[in-house]
Amino acid sequence: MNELRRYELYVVLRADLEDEELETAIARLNAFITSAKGLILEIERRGRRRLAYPIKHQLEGYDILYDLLLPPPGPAFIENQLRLSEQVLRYLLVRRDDLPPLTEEEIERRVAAAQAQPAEAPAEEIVAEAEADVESVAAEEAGPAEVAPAETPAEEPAAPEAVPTAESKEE
Amino acid sequence: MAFYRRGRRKACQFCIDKITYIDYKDVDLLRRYIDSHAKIQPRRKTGTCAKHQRRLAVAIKRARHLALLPFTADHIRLYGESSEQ
Repeated sequence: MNELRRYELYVVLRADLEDEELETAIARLNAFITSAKGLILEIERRGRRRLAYPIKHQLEGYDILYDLLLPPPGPAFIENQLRLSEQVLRYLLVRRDDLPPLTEEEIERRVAAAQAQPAEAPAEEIVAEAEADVESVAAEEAGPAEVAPAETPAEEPAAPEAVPTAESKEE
Repeated sequence: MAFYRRGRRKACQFCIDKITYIDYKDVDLLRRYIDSHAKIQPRRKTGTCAKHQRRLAVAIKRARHLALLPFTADHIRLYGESSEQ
């Protein structure tokens, strides 16, 4: 167990995704960690928030924070995957050696708690789903700004183009 | 010209609070150490000790990367430096 190191991963996802897209994006993040043989101690969904400055014309982001244990090649792998993920606006993966080491039981308990937390499909399914998604999501990525929220068409059915123009003006 | 320092040297707030890890997620704390232009404040203004100033600077830069804090204040970024005041 000694070869595992404690990390903290902060990911800012685009907030203009539909709920399902957001869930699959999060499932993909989890899959990266699982395939890097990492253990998730905690997932904190910090949710939607306004960005301090626009990133890729986005004014909002959806934040997710992970508390992780990773074996040595893990961080490089995960960072690579994150760099390639178009839904990820920003990420930060830092070592948390300053925290006191956890006992084996504590690790088991927290890993179990983190797995129970999402209350969705079992972990294996999520991994499979997310991997299948990689190609389909990448194919769709051509027009990311078109995802209009459900409320806007009700008010102004004629102007979905108004959204990108408003955003580019903020530059 | 000699420099005068009036009054007592301000003590480092992080030393007083015995903080060892300055968290980049603690935006409210970090905000106290950037000015209205979003620049990191010098030690001489805040009284932070050298050790904590280094850690503070890293934390602020991490927060900026994640867009938790701005690199530049909105009024400058949007309207240019000339429009100041």
